[in-house]
Amino acid sequence: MQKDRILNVLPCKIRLILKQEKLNYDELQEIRIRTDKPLLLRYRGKELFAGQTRGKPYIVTKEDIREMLDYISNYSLYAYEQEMKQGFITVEGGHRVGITGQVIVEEGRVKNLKHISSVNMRVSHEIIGCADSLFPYITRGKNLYHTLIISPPGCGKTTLLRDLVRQISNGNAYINGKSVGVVDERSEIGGCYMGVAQNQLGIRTDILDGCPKAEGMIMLIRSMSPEVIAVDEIGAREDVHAIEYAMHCGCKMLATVHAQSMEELKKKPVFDQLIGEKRFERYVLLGNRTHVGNIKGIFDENTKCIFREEKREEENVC
Amino acid sequence: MLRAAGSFFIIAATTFLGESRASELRGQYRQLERLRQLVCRIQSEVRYARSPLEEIFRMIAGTTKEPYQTWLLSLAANMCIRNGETFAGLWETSVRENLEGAGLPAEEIVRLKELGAGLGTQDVQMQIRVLELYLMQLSTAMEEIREGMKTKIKLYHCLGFMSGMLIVILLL
Repeated sequence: MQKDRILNVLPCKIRLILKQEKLNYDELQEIRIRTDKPLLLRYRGKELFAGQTRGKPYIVTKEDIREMLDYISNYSLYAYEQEMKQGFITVEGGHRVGITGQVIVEEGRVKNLKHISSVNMRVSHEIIGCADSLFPYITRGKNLYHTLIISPPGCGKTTLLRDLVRQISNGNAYINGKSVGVVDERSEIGGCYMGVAQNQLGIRTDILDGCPKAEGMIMLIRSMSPEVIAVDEIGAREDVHAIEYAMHCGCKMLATVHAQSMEELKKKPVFDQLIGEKRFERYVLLGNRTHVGNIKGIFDENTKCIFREEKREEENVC
Repeated sequence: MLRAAGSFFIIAATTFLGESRASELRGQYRQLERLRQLVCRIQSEVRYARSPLEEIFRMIAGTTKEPYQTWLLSLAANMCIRNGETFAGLWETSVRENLEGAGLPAEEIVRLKELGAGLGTQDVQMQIRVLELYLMQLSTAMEEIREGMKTKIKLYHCLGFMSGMLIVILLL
């Protein structure tokens, strides 16, 4: 399934080369396609020149890029105009396809991209059970704490959030099954296809696909009365206001944010206030020292460390 | 008695031929009307829902009559194969395979084939304008057909009957 979804958006020639490489697609992280440059993969944490098995690396052509754009947009680039402005399109399965080329600017703002020369496909991984170890720290009396997952890019925060949503929705030994509302602005959590989540998000999950986070949270509260709301990559001031509103409405929040450490998070203007007011009750800090998505530390509402990865890390983290 | 019966059958046959040509013309106009409705629906879906073309084709096919239903479904299916073909190529092939010989005028088939080259572009406004232009051309073609239709239908009826009469007179 994962393999088919990835291969389905790749140009015919590249598809053929990857089939010959005999990869384990669960360990494939990135596919980098640049015009007139070798086809590069990030596989098992290392760079790999695809096509080496045939003697020399495969050199990507303009035609490959054109073909890939056709496939990622279902031959309908106009339908992804907004996503193109942001520089990426999320395809079926939640894989993020980043695009660069010449930017079209209108009235000082990015309107779109043309002459696309590079495409980077970041493979999304659904790891069932990756949040198991987290539950004892983010639940109490079968209920969830307001939790914020902090991580630099590429450290598995979306994967962790996805598994948390699935387990909270289905229920497990630490928590009773709860109705979860997911605002999936970039279609990365659910990997929705025609509104239906392709990833496992549990039996009590409602998903708003492609919706701006702040607006989506309010919409969910009014329409689906969720017990838990999950959002990915918060950062804007309006996101924080919507989170506060949701918390006042009695919803438990599950969110992720980009940051290297608690200190860095505190320096961000809106989060400084959020932490000061003790809005979130648990902060989970991720890293990739031993493996992608390893938990470096867990902090309580007073930013006091309640879990550390190992002794050596304690001084750095806590 | 035999002559009278023969004459009757000849006149009936040529009249029927005239009528079938007239109904062919009416059918052609009906097909164009359906095509216009279909393109209007595609345009609305692009404008309001910004849905991808494959999704639009499958949705519209569910409530469209033949030959357009088969055409849209086969086009949507071909879009999923992803064998390196461009959208314009897929569109042209599907029009040729499903709509040629389905009662549309030859010049309309040519125009419809060309429409594929303007679909799937980056800009929604551009997409809407391409469809608007096609609809305008289609409406003009339909207007021309409608204007000549009444005269042509009368002519086919007359010619059918009169040619039958002529054959009978020549044979007698």
